[in-house]
Amino acid sequence: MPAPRHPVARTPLHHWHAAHGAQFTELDGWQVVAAYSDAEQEAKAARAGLGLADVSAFAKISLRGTGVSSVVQALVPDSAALHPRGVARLPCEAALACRLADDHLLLLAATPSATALSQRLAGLPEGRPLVQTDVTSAYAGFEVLGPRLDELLRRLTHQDVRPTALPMNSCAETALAGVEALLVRSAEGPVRIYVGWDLGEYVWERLLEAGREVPITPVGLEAL
Amino acid sequence: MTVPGTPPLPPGCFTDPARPLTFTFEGRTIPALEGQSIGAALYAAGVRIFSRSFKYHRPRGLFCVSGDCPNCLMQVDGRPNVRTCIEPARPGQVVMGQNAWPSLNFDMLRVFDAMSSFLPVGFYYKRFHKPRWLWPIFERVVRHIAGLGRIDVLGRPDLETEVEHLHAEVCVIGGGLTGMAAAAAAAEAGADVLLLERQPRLGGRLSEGDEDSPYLKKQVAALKTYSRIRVLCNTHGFGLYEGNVVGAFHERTLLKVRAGQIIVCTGSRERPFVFQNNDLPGIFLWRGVRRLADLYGVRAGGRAVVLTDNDEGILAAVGLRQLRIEVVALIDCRPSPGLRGSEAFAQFPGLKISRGVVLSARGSKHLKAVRIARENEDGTLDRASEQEIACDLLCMAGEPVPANELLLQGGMRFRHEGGRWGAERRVPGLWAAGGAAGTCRHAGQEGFLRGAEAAAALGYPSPSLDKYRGEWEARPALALGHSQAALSPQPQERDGKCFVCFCEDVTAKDVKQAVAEGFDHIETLKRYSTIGMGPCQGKMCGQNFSATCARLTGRDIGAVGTTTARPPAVPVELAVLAAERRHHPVRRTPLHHWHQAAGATWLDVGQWKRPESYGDPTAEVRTVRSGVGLIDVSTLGKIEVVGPDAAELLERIYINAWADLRVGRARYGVMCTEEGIVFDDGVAARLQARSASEGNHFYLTATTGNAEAVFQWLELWRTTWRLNAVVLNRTSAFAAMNLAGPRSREVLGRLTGLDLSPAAFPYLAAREAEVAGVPCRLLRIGFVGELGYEIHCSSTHGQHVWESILEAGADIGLKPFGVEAQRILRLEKGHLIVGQDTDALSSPLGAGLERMVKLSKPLFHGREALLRLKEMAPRARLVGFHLSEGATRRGENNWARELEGCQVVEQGRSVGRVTSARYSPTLAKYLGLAWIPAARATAGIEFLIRCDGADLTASVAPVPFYDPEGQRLKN
Repeated sequence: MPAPRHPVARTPLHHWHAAHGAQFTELDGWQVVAAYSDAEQEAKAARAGLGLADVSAFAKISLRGTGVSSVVQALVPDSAALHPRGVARLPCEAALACRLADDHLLLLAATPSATALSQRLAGLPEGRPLVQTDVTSAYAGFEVLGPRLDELLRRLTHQDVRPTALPMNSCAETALAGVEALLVRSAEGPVRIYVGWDLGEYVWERLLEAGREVPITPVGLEAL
Repeated sequence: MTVPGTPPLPPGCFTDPARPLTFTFEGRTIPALEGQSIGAALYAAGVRIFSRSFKYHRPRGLFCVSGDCPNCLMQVDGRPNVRTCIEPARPGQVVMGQNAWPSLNFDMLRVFDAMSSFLPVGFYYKRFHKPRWLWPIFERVVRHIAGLGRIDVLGRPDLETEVEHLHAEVCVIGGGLTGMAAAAAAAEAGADVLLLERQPRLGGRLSEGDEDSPYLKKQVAALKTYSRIRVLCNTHGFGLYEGNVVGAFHERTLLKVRAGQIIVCTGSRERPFVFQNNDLPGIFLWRGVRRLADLYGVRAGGRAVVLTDNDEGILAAVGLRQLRIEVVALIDCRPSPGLRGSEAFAQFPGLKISRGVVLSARGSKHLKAVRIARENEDGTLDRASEQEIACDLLCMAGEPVPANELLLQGGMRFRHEGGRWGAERRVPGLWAAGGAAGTCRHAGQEGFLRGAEAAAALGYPSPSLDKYRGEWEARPALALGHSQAALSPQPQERDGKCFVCFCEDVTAKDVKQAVAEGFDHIETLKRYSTIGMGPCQGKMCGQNFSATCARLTGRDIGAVGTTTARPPAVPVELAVLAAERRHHPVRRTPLHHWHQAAGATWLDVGQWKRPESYGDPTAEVRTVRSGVGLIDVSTLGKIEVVGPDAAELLERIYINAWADLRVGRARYGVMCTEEGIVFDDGVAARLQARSASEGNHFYLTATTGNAEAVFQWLELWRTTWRLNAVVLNRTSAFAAMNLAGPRSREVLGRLTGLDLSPAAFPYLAAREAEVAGVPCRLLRIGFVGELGYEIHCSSTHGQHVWESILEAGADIGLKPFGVEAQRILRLEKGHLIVGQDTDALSSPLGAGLERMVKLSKPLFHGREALLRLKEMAPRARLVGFHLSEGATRRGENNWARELEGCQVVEQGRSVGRVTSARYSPTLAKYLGLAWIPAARATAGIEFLIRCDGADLTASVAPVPFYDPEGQRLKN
């Protein structure tokens, strides 16, 4: 009997990354891309045009049910601002909370580990009905760095992504390259795109294709 | 044909004289300048016949030089129907004429022109249908002759199209004087503006005339001071759609513009005149002559006659002189020429204005002379005044008509008053300004006003709104001399071919006859006569058509109206419209690249890619039956239902019972539509509730292609019934694989601490445990008919678990198997596939699922229908069959697939069909499932399957074919 392997988590783009010379590093049990060539070069290229990073590994937790409002009140300092389509930053965990609907909250961590978030949620008083699900493996996530997002996305979606239509701290569910996607713009600037896990590679390639004239550069997590 | 000694024109403001190039036209090499249109270069090279007309194959030449008329359509680099008068010439282009045989210059099909009396209006409705047996012959001939150009049906990768979605607060269509003013005013007020211009640069008619118009320069410079204005040139708006969406294209990119306010400033175009042979090459719209000279530097002729019914005729004559074209006559067909015209005329001694009408044009392939005559007071012709004037150019300077197609599409109405069309501004978010609104003078002021008003409607109060309004309201009254009778005397019913519609070759006489036949409403008249149904979509004929119809029916033009405007307003390639369909999403399982590396052949299942096999499906079947195999089933729909009412939801959705399912158990389930038709099937398991507050926890699988539909269905009914449960679509979140075969327990046992003994983990049980260190959900089910475990884990660890299992079983011959092997295996077990073995008429009663239907449940989807269906007893049944000995001669195993979809025949009539068929390596037989009449659905009865014209004998066999007792599943 062979020795048991060490469980390793891969993003849906793992093989794309490997085929494009990515240097992997292990982070909380995940194989993530540190850089493709040189992190500084990548950051520079992203500043000049657009950078595209695979953040599928970052933990995501979905909360569903009428209990969402009380969770929002407990987690978010300015809970009144977190209306549907709104986004807020959780102060201690550096995670984003996206209110997709009155009874649907999506928490997006900035690390692959969901421990901090889970502990925080576990500490909340039990009350109204709430279904908590780890949806890390349900959505592939990409971060787009750089200001020229509009030039990239206008070939792929009818959603207006200029800051007037998708302001800071808001999100939008829309069609992107023919599939359902969630766009999240936080206060810090970079926009995140979430699509079904199995569509990750398809959308990643469409993004690179649509942005080729900007140009768009794949970047590793070190460049973030 | 230019008079010798005339100095050449300046090169034209769109061209770059420093960059000459050449292209070929029907084999000839043609010189051109960069920026020059193909049509202009051809005209300069002496080409006069640009196309042959649709029906009579009459020669047609340049006419509008703006892309509005159908006269210059050619085949360019294999693309049919290119409007060469505006298409820029490019080096090495191959340009060919179309709709002519053998050539544009000499077209045998011109014979139709002589046969015109046999081809009256509506002839295709009157001819060809009797005698009926001749129709197939007619059809072949008509199909061969009809149509313009040849399309490359194989597709051209170099002609790929793209789509872009643009957003603007204000979208201005048309970048002439009016459009620039509107854009500037809207931007001044603070709005984001997108300005679309069809030509290579802004200016519209300001580009015509003085090449370096200081006014134009000032306007363009003013626009550049606004960073909020984005200008797109070479961009053609073709449609206005609901929700203020503008359809446009820029080269081969489809643009979908979503705008808060739309201002249409598309200007106006001249109405052509109707007289005999008014389609001869050499007859131009006046502005066409202007554009040919000013934009492309090409002179249209040497001796010109100007025909007009408004003051623009005077400007035309003056303009022609600037272009050094001799004006031999200016014919004003108004009853009395306008005062302003006379004043202008006084400044140009030697210009003679004749009052009268043009009767006909003479010439065979090009204009040689025009015949004119005066009209008497009562409208009859003064025959004594008839005279012929030799010329090589006739400029038609007709009354400008609003280019208002987009406005009409957007729902704006136009009123005909005082001989002119004027816009009635009533549509929220849509504005008209300038010529497109019917405004002739002071279009700029109107542009400023509408721009400011559009911005104000968005909540940007313009500081200058009042000023603009004041200027517009204080504009001087319309200058004198504009034709009051917009339709001056027209020889509508005179002899010969007086064309109203150039695209479809419809003459004034045809219109008269159609009206006489009873088609006196403009819409029915259009459909019967085909006027306005050609490439120009009524741009050339619209006004003459309405006027003719009005005259013939004794009504006012306003009462007759115009035909309905629909997109596209300008010709758009279908490939451009289809640009958005370029998205072909591909869904890949977490094991996709493993399969790829293992040499899998791919099968497309909806958007999914699935491994069909890894080489030899038959060997894969044997592996599963005798040892153990592993298949990727990540494409299965996976749904979680959580909450106190979860069991109730399942109870009402599935036709079988769920309330009694204990935790840790799984069950096969079928769901039906309200009509009692099988909608989907799958396995559902009851898992341990994760917390007391969450309540019941079910994990469902659905058919690959139905995952989304089943999820939506559950979500819809959960909401409708207000059940306290949450439905989660987890399809993407889990990888799933099926470890199947008599030795699967042995392999799994090496990777998990779970007790796998039959007593601890029996058939149809569900467990949660770690496999290879990863938390998994395990279902002991057997789609393929062997001991098997369906293992679901997070997509993130799919590859780790898959590789760990394969490694653990390598020493006992564990191999992956693909969809093809699975299909054979399940067919041996007689398991049906929803969507393949069932269709939109299949009830569970006929499909062999009677025992699933629990009519004792008080409420579930399809119950009422199934109660009725049960009373009627099904007419057809899904049965298993095998082919009789004689029918299985052919050697190859995969031959049997061809039977899928074949008819079951009885005395030559179709009575059913085969839904699945394969060769079973396990049983060494050809097996299948088929729908046959219920009366014959008894084991042993023979029936016939028609395949490739031969009838094969099959006999009904009991299912499952393999392991009917199910011992292998349960051991």
